[in-house]
This record gives sequence, C-alpha cells and structure tokens, in this order.
Amino acid sequence: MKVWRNLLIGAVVFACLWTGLNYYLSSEIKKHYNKNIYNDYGVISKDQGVILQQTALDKGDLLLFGSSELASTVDQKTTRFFPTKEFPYSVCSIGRAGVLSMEDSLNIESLHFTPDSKVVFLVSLGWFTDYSIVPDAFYANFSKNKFYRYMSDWSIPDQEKIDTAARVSDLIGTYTDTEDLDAWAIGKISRKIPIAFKAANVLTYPWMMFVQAVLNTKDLAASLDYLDKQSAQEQKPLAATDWNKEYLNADVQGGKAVSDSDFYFEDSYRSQIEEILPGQKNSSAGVDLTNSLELRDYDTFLKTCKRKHIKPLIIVESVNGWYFDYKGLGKDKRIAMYSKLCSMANEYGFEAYDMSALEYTPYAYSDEWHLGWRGWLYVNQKITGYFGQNR
Amino acid sequence: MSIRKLQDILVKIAEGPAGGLILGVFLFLALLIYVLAGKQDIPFIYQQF
Repeated sequence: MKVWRNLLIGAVVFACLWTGLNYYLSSEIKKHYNKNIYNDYGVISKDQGVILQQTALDKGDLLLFGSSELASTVDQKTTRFFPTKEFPYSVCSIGRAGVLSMEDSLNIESLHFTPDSKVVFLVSLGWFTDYSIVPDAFYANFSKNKFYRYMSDWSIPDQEKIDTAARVSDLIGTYTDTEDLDAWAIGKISRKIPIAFKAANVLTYPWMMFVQAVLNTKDLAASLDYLDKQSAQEQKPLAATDWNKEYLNADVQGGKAVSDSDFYFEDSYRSQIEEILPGQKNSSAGVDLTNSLELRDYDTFLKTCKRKHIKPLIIVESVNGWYFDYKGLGKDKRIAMYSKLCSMANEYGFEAYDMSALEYTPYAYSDEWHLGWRGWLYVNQKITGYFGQNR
Repeated sequence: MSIRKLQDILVKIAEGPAGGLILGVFLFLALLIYVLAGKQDIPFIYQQF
C-alpha cells in the first residue's frame, strides 16, 4: 500500500517539476526571442521544432515555407526584403533542402493558426521529378514530434492518417539507421491493418502523447539555446518600395554574378556543373511529372491547409527554361504541370501564383531551379499584393 | 552487491516516508539529462542535406 502511495506521490512530484521546467523555458524564450533567426537557413530547432515557428506566427509575422531555395543569399530574398512600408511584417523562413509536401503537411498540422495568419508556400517543380524523392532527405527533415501530433489529432479522417502513416513508414523505413523505430512501427502497423486502425490509434495514443511531451520540452531547451546565441536585434526604419528601381537593381546585381549566356547560371554554379553538363543533354526526356508520388502528398498538404482553416498563398515556382529544354523536359510538360499544381490549389480555394512566365527571364533563377535576383522580387511583389488586399 | 540486496534497498526507499519525493526527483533528473544532453544533437543525416 505504501509503495502505491509513494508511486502516486512520485508521479505528482515529477509532473510538477516538469511543468515548472516548461514554464521556465517558455518564459525565457519570450524574453530572448529575436527576429534575427528568421533569415537563418539549416537550423534544426527552427525547421524541425514547433516552438520558434509558433512564436513567429503569434507575433503576426509571415511564415515562408520552402526548401533549398531558402539557402539563397541574394539581397532580394523575401526574408531580407521585408518588412517594408507596404508590408510591415517580418518573414520567417522554414525549411531546407529535401523538404517536400509531406513535411509541410506534418508541419502545419503542428501549428495553431488564426484567421489572420500569414502563410506562404514555395512549391518547386523539382519535387515532382521522380529522381527528387530521396528517403534520406525525407528522414533528415523528419520530425517525430510533428508526425505524432498528426497521428493523434482526432479531427483527421482515418483514411488520411493511414495514407500518411504508410508514406512516412515507407520513406523512413528505407533509411536504415533510423532512430525513430517507434514512428516507423506505428506507420507500418497502420498500413498493414487499416481495418483495425482505430484500435491501433487508440492503443498507441498514450505513447504518442508522452513522446510529444518529452520532445516538446527538448524543443523548448534547443530553441532557447539557439536564441541565446543571437546578436542584438536591429530595428530598421520601414521604407516604401519602388518596384521599378528594385528590378533595375536586381538586374545589375544579377548581371555582375552571371556571365553565362547559354543558361544564365550564376558563375559559381556554372563552374560547379561544367564537367557534367554534356551528360545532362536530354537526360530528363523520360521524366513523367504527372506520375510522381509527390502529387498525392501535395494533395494531402492542400487538404491539411483546408482543415486548419488557413488561407495560404501557394507560389508555384517555375524552372530555368533554357536548361530544362536542354535536359529534354519539354516546355509543354512543364507548363501542364504548373497549371495542374495551380488548379489543384484553386480547387481547395487557395490562391496560387504561377511563375511559368519567368522561365526565360534572365536573373529570375540563379541555377536550374532556385530563385535568383529577379525571381525573389516577383515573389515579394506577389506577397505584398496578396496580403495587402486580403487582410 | 547482490541483486537481492539492491532490491531490498530499493523497496526500503520506496516504502520510506520520502520514497515518493525521491522517485519524483529521480524521474525529473532523468528527463533533464535527456533534454539537456540531447539539445545539441544534430543527427548526422541532417548535416548531409
């Protein structure tokens, strides 16, 4: 009897201390919060955590979800360009190389939005080429905390959960050194016994909640550690944007970095791929964009946005037209794909910005598909117009 | 020390007046070590991309 009483006391003491720790870490994060982190790329606590993203949202700033294009260092990059007089909010970038629609779905499922939340998604054509779905890249960006948040949300229809769990278990299952065996197992079980999914979901629920709670504390600690290393935040006066001047400036900067007149690649990129360039000719001729598994994930992502009642701006990035013509992935195929991605977003009631008109615009892309000087400016102008009109 | 002896000690602590408190603090310390020791962990695979 005494043992049971002491076990109960132990559990209560543990819960109190844990709550106190979370409270302390949360209040320290509020004190140390710093918008300098918004432009940082490849930061695990920002990309895979939830706390820093949620804090940016709660402050009314814009979340820009993307992938490798966020590594760009040009002045026109959205995180550097804003705030301005017309759009007086800061922009926090989320994501890095290898992030695809499934990670975005799990990510937004983990956040709490309000009707005023400002969210932009950069969707790349590269995601839909069959050679771009890399399980290692998926696992490198995978967050067990977000997966469990998704799986323990009762508002998500069972079939959607089963599909997501199956996809996640396939992708992380191929990465042999996975540390998230439990997540893989839950995904696998959900796939194998869809009829008994409800029971499996209920049985695993306490474990998922416990793991989420532990990972949440870890996220708080890692976020605070990252914020502690930031230098003081600067307050810049907001300036009005003269778009003509900005585009001229982008052309000047692009002109200085690009001397390639074949594909308008940035010089550093051109020299990187010079050797393999001859082998790239017609190398993508057989790629079937419409057959990509990523299309299903993109649909799941749009469904998740709808369920979370957010009104994102979906930016469908195009690619460097000259180079993709060279690689043999024809313009007709590309245009059809941009149009499909935009119409899918429109069907869910979201505005999509089709950047296909920029395929042959010098300095719109700095390499084969990453936004360059002019490309980022078009994105910025669209964001200014969209959130100016709708909010 | 035999396992039997260790078991006796643990039972004595667990049944003692401060058993609950000791257990709670012990669990909390384990959590703290996990959280603080792991906060800098960047999986190798993360650095590859």
